[in-house]
Amino acid sequence: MSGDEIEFVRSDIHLIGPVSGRSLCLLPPPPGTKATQHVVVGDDGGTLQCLHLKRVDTAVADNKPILRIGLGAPQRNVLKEDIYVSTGNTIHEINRKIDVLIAEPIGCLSVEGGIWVAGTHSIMMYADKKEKYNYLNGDKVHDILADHITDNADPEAIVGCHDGHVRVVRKSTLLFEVETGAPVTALKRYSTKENSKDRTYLYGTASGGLGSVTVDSSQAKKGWTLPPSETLSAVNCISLWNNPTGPDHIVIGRDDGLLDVYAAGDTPLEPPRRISRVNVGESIQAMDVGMALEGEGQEIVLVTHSGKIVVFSGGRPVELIGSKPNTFVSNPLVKEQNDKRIKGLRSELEKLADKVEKAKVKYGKLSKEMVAVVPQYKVNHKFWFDAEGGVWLFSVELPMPLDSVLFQSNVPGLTVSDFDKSASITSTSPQTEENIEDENFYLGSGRILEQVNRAQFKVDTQEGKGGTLQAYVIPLTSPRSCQVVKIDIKPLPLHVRISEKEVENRQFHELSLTGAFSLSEMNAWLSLCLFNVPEILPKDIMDLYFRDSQTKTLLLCKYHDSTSALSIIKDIMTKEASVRGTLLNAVATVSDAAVADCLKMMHPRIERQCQLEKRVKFVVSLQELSTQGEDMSYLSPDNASLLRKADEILSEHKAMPHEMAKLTKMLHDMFIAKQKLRGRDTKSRMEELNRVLSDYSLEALTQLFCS
Amino acid sequence: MYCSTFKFSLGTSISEGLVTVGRFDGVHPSIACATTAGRILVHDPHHKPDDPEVRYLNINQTVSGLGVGALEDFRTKQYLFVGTQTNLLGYDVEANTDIFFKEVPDGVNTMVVGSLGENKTPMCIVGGNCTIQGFDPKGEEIFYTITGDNVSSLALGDVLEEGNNNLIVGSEDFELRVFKGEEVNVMLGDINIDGHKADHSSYGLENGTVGVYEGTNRLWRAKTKHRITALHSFDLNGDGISELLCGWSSGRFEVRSMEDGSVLYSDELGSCIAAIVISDYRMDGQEQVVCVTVDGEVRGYNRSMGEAQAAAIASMVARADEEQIQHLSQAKQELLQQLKNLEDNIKAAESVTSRSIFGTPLLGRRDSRAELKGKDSLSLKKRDSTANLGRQDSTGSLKRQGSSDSMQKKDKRGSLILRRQDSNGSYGSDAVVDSDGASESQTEINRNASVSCQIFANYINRTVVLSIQTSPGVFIRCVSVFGEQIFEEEAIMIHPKTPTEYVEVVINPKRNASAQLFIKTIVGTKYSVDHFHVFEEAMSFPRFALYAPVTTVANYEIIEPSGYVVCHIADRVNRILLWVNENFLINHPLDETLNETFLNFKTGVILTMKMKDGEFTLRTDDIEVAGEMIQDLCEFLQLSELESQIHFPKELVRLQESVNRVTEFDATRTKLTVAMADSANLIKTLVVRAEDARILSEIPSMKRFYRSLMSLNEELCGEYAKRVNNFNALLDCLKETNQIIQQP
Repeated sequence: MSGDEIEFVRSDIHLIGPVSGRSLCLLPPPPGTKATQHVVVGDDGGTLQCLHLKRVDTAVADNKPILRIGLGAPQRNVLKEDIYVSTGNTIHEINRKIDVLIAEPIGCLSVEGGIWVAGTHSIMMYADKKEKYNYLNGDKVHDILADHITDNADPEAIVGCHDGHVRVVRKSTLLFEVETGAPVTALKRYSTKENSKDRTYLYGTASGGLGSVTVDSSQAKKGWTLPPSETLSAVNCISLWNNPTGPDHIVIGRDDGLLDVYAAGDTPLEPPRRISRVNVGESIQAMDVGMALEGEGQEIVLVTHSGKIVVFSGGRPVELIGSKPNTFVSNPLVKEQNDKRIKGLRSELEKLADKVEKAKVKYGKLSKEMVAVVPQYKVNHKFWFDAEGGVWLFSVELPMPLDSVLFQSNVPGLTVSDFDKSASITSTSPQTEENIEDENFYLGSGRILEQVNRAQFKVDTQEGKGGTLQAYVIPLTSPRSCQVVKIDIKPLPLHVRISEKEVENRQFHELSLTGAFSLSEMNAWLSLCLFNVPEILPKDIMDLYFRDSQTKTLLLCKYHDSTSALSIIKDIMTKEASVRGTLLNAVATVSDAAVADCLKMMHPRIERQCQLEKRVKFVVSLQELSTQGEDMSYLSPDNASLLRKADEILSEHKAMPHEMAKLTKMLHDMFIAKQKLRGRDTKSRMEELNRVLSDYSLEALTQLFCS
Repeated sequence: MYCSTFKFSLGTSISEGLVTVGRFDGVHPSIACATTAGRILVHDPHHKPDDPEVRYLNINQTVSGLGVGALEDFRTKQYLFVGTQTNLLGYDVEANTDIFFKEVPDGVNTMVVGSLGENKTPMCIVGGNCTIQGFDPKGEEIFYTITGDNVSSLALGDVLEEGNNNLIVGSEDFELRVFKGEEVNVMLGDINIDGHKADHSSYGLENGTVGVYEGTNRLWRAKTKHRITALHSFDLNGDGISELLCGWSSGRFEVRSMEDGSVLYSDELGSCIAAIVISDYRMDGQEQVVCVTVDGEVRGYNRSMGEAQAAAIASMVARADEEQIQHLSQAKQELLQQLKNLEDNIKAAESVTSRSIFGTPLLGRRDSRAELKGKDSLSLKKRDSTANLGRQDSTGSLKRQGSSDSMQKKDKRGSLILRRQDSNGSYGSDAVVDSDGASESQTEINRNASVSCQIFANYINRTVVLSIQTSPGVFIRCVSVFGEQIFEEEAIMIHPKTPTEYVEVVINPKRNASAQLFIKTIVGTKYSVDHFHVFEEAMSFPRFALYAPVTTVANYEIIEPSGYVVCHIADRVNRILLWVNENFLINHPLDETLNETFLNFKTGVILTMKMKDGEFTLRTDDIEVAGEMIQDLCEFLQLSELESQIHFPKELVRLQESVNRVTEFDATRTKLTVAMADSANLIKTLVVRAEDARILSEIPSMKRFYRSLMSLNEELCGEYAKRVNNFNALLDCLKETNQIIQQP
């Protein structure tokens, strides 16, 4: 990072109930004034609150969770100050209910003259309280943004989809779509000036990425993307921070509680660089930038999952802090206020503690053991794939501190381990015969060591068997209760869906299934095997492409080139089809050419790894020699160059410690699968495979596979 | 708060734990560390202009222990001590001479230099396989004692607060022992010690635990998922109280409070921390904390702070208010949630109580209905309290039937109603009423539910079992039990295939240890899907639970053990009975004569106890068990000394056998050594003659000589392998002998 880092001062201003929607925004100040802004925020209890300095106005909208708050105005180019709130499957324009006929909970809404709303799959536009357009998306919709791209009277919608696309919808038709690689979880227009011609949009993804898309009346084009640097968690919300000297800074609120600020790159195509990172401690649900406190300048106002409203003010360069007294915190007036607040909080706490004690006694009379009967909280959990590391990540968050998370799974080979940065210790229970009999292939208990609301775990899976992973989430509350999160594990968990464009000309094995079934049935069967199969099959797309993140082989819904994946799909499909009583003819054609193709593709990796292993051994010995400090000129040029590159080689090896084992396992699986599809015995030939691998050459391997 | 003040790299990889700092010339501090390939690196930043900054010392053997210290009084010049698996070298770095070289057959696992007990002469104390030896400046052994297993760490400190140093020994048998002179004084049970530093004695364990003892009481312990690799104590923040410095295998460096273990500061170094040492390394009159990683990175942390840091702290103080507000609002939020939680439960409870009043008069009628339907009696029985309720507002339920879009709905009173999926349509509206009622009890856990936990001995399977039984109608979904030292990974989870009312957990601890078991039982009704109640129970697991009393069953053949311990205990009999009750699984009253027989399920060892006229007799053939129990009893009765008579014929035989074997192996060793010396001479001759032949260009004879040299070489290699085997066998035997001797 360069020297333009900035730093913020945190202040917690208010508490509301748990929040799971994107339900916070700042009302604009009356035009021409610089008054502090009102914070509008809604919680899961359906309470909508408007905070202004010390005053809190409450309006109960409904007792359903508030999913989204948007600001809008009835016409274009009018100050957006009407509050639109979505709860369940209705939308309220504050104090005025709009009837929206949509069967799904409305998670997204954006107002720009017309109101664009989205449920899980359906997208609609309302104007004058009437439905005007609708569009059915192939997969879940995570975010929607209404904007005028053309001179059309009605705004277009920019849609962030679960299947890794940003789509642009005009009226009831799809205009453009842009591939993003991961589910799009947040959208933001990148230019705050209303009439600017520049239509750049920012999107954030479920795997923590950030990118830009530029849209004009003829096309949508992908701009920069943030380089994948580390495993990050989902982007929940994006805001802009006005930078007087250049393009706006981008503020990102993540699911793991990190608040990142990025400064725009020097050219429009250059990705931005991070200039600040603060850990809020719990997931950031919604955020806005404006002036909410009596501070000076802009502030970031955000709401966390447990309902804390936090303001970050300052945004000053790091160097200034310390050398120059921080005006905000050392302001005597503020100090006085703080003291008052601390005092007030203390007395509140005492009263509350007293109340809790009384309630405990009361409940103790009703239930001797203080049995928790009513579920009191919502578990916010996420399960996503980290393609870089080849593992699934699982996070749970509660509006209260966690005590422990217990795991049970009936998927053989699945293991749960601690995420490096999280404060948990997972103890795996031994695999006893009894456990295997009960299909408890994994049992483990994760204890949370610190007082945190969120915990993250790594879930290692293997291709082969599907099932469920159950997480029993226990918070630190009394009476102590527990809620279960169930996650479906598909038999091919490591296959990632990709777009057609990424597919090169490749040979495929073939498994054709014919029979009296419909396309949607076929799609349903596929979704039993793979993650990210669209729930509704788009009418015009019939090929789905997947790539195994480990072997890099491809799998198509009709054409595949990975034998391993193929035989598993065969198992599952025939099983499912026989359950339904459908007559199904499965014909598998294993193509040797495809095998050779696949091996050839893996060849550089295997070769490089073999070389690397060898070189590491050399380097370690050579380094030892060199520390003697003696003259090293007697070394052969090869060895001398190895020694020069020692650090490089070692760090390369360090970066992928299990690569060789992984590759070997992949080849083993592939070999077994191939023999299985041909109906041959595999055990006797495994020895041979191991022998070939110990002295690797592509020819020998190909010959073995194809013989 | 503490910023790293300097850092540099040694450019080579360092062995974990083998780093020390000393003033080898009596003035300037240098770091000495062992590299992974049997060499010692001495980094001297204050070297003379013409000396190299880094010097190497070849040991040519894997270095296993490194220590530094002045062995002569009133001198500041320090020597370096290097231990390997076979010997100990005392080395004067400044003069580049050996001061002594001593064979240490038990190997050096760890070492410490200092004085012990009343004898103020400093010595170099090394810990090897079961033995601890102390050497004086001349290399003479002046201290020798043995301990239970391989020594993994050593430290000196006045633990017993008597003004003299005690030796604290951590060993691989999960014990931390404090030696006063050569006597074992206190024994503290715990797991693999890795390094510690006296003051408050802190300890770090192989399994990622770190903790602090004040005297002999444990103040706190904390566990992480990484392994602790270095420990030290130092007053880094200048408040007059030492902090605990921990280095972790993950490369994390932490400063923790001695009192409660809270982390005051942490830093991330790139790789596993090899050691933490304290020294005035920059010679500016300020002691620094120096961390060395296995990659050779060295980082120094200073107590004092520069101006910029001071300013940063000032700004932090200003922010303290904000942080306090954060903490307070966090606390407020938690209390609010708890209150809401309780109030919700109270509300739900009250609404149900009011309903069950209506429920009672109709009970008879409902029973007959249950018979009518005949099947699925369980769920029908559970309809009791609410079936009539459904009737009461049957109009409401009918309405609900219409909106079938969701499985779960909240009714007006806020209680959950689950629509039964398999409700039979033919029952019409009646069925709706029923299913409403039935499901209500299906998801709501009985408010008066309870669980009872018990630990007992299962004589049939010969296991110790923890059982968990729920009250009727309450089903266990899963159980998690946490117990230090009891389970392989500290905690175990049980997940029955279908919810049950009874669960058994077999407990099979590796060693006798008393522990608190924390049991979490997750319960619901038979039909609970996603919401459960958690019962938390804490139970103590008796230390000798694996010894089951066998008076209750007769079908065990009891052979009276031949070994015994007799001791006179002045304490009241009741106190001893109390000890037995607390440490064994006893479920029957004990009488004054005690007269109990126990059987160890795991090892089959039989143990009897008798009490007569203040004389306590313990009969068993396993001397270790006897020792452990007497020790535990003494601790319980707070006796520091207890005179006892022991007689263990079987152990004596074993000891004799093992001593014989040791002698035998030793003889073989000598023989092999002699043979080897002969061969060495032969080699010399052969080499000389072969070279002669080469110079004289007599190629055939040269070839011949070299061929015989090769065969001799092979022979020697073979001999060497034999020697290694013999030596290992000898070591094992010695270890066994030591263990027998060590048993109290």
